[in-house]
Amino acid sequence: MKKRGTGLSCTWYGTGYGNGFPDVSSAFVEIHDDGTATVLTGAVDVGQGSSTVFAQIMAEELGLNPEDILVCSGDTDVTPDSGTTAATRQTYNTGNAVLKAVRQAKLRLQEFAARKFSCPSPEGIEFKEGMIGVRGDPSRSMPLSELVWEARLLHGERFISAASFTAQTTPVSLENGQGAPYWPYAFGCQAAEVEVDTETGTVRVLKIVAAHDLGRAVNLTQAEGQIAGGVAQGVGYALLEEVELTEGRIKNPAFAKYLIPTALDVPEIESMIVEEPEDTGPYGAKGLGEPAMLPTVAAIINAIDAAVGVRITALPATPEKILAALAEKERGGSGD
Amino acid sequence: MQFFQARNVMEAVERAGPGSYFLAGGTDLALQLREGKVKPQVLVDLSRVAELKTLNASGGCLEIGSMMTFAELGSSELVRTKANALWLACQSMGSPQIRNQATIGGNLGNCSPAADGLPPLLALGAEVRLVSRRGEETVSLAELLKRRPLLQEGTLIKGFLIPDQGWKSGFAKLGRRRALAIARLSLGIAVKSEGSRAKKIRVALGAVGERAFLSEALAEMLEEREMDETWLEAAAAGAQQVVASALGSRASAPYKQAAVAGVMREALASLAGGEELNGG
Repeated sequence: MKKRGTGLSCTWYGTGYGNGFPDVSSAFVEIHDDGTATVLTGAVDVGQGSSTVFAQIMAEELGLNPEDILVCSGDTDVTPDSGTTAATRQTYNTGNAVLKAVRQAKLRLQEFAARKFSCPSPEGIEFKEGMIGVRGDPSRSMPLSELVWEARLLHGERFISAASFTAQTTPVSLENGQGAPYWPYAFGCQAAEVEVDTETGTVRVLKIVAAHDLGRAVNLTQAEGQIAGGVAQGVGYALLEEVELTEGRIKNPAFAKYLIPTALDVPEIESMIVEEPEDTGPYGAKGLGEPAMLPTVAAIINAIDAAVGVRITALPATPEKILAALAEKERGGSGD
Repeated sequence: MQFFQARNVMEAVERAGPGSYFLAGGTDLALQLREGKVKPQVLVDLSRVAELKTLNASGGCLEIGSMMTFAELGSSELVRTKANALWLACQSMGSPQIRNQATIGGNLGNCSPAADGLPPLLALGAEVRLVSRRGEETVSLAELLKRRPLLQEGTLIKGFLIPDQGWKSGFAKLGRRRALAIARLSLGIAVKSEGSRAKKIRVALGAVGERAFLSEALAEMLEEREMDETWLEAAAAGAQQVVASALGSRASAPYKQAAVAGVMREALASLAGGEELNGG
């Protein structure tokens, strides 16, 4: 018989290396005289989209399009260290370094523009749609590329900067447990609906609703993609993935035997983006990567419990374990 | 290793000798070659042999060439109406990429315990057409699967004949996931009924032991009975007994023995086909 159930799970997750480990990202920025800009960081985009996020941050600050930004990343010959693509830290940490760096170069450009346009303060200079000029006075503006060209070639100005950002973390005292190991924290909540076949023990995840607080979505499509990716990994974690060992050797070191979900195994995913700005993040953003997969497992295990009344306590929840638990429950029930 | 691309069956058979392998879709053989598990002296490629890529219904039979792919069979209306169990197996085997490449003949030639095509073919009462330099032979699949080795040296699987006698058939498979999953259990069943009464049954199991097999005991138990709720329960319980005795004390036995009841129910729920078609 096929039975359905729903389960809920919440997560809170400290992003960054934590526990006092130096968590530093750096960026080099240059604004060019052809209306483009370059940013160099050691942050490696492994598909999660950090390079896109950095291009967007640069473009946002300079009033350019993201495609006008060249992001050079992860080249140890030329890029400054930005730490690992791990710990859900690149948007927050390296995003902050990029923002800090671009604002330095931008400020020098603002200062030059303020003199040029007889504007009393550099803060009065705005960047918009490829133009630079006095805020609220379109008559005193010109294309960014032309101004940078003039500044470079006629005045010898350079708009180059470097900046680092260090995340806030202190070690936890082993004596009293005090300290602030992580900052910031990401929050999430997911609900799963499953269908359990009581004869074969097979679990089908029908739907996951995933709500995640990411401070601010720099790129909404990427955020939804990270949630979908996290859920897919969570489904595998809950139902399929297992490293089988014999005397320390992995018995299933290939994807033929180490099974992950296929497109057919991934449920319908409804994502809800919660934006509670994080004061210390770039535009209020914080990380989403790992938190997106954390609640999926518990939500699925809770949903299995709701469907058939058995609690699986060792992952993955294989059909064998579910049938064994159902049989155990049956025996317990008749014995009482 | 020599590679020979045959243009017709005669050429293929002529080239096949000691240490030769026929290459069909290659979804199993290519892996075995790469892993060094087989080391052919001659590889006879069948991909250009048009006479093995046939599908037609005539003379009371559905005739399937061995080089028909799972994708081709799975998209054929003829197969759906005359051999529903096989058609269903063709929907879930491997993935779209594998179904585009893998052939029904190769599925038998490789003869994995979990071969998706075999339980349906057994349930449908398929005969296999073999050809070698020694001549042609037509043998029932059930008999062929009892032979060790499966095929004499240099024997080519030419195709399959499925009798078209108005049987309904169904198939179900249990895998660890919904695609790219090796069957942990598969079950093909065919029923010749009169109204709600089962007259004749053929039921075959896969991934239970070394090769797929027909269970005559289970068929006999279910024949000449009304296909009601009691019958359904008997079918599920009967399948459990068959699996229990086939697997004995193997580690997978307790799970498969229990789970086959659900697989049997799903296979029975999928029963279809067998309509009398004009000119069938």
